[in-house]
Amino acid sequence: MAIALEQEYKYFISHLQDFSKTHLHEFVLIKGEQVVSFFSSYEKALREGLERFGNVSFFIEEVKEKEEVHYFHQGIDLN
Amino acid sequence: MSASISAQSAFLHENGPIYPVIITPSFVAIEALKLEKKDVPFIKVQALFDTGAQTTSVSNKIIEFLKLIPRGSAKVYTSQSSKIVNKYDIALEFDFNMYLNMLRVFSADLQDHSIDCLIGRDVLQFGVFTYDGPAQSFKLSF
Repeated sequence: MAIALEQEYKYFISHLQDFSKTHLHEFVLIKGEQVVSFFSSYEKALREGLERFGNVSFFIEEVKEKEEVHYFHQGIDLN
Repeated sequence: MSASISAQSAFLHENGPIYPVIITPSFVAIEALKLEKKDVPFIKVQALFDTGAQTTSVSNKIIEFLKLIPRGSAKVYTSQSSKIVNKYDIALEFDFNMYLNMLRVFSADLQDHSIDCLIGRDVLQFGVFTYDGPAQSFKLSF
């Protein structure tokens, strides 16, 4: 399955250090290379994204001090 | 703890702790679908409780069936590779009165095609999971 939000992901990673100075543990909503806003919860960011853009893809992630990576031990093919 | 399951399997060692779950879009997405007077898709699948997975993942065919839309991406590592994968919102329902209305999951091609969901520690963190090898049983309580 193609990565649908690669542009937004790269933008988020490249600005994470800046975001974390003022918005640590808030949820950022990004569309393209534009930050819509920061929110106190994922649900609030999702509702704003749906209201603003409709039911299309947009990027929401919690701002942390560094990029969060995830681990699997079960047999899966990443795609 | 108010909801729990206890399951037994003669193949617990070979197959792992497997249990059926119902997957739907998240409650926020369901609200949006209802406003548009669209049907809410749902599907019952076999899920494997996977203490080795940090985050729950769902097979691509279920993501496509439910017409889920990506809301994020993240870097994921397995023992073989690493990659950026899409994140989606779902709701997860067990048949023992347990319902998670918003869960962020990854898409994945699961090598065991009889399994469509790996339930990770993001769900297990809310409960007590017991694996009893000699009794070939497992128990989950929330």
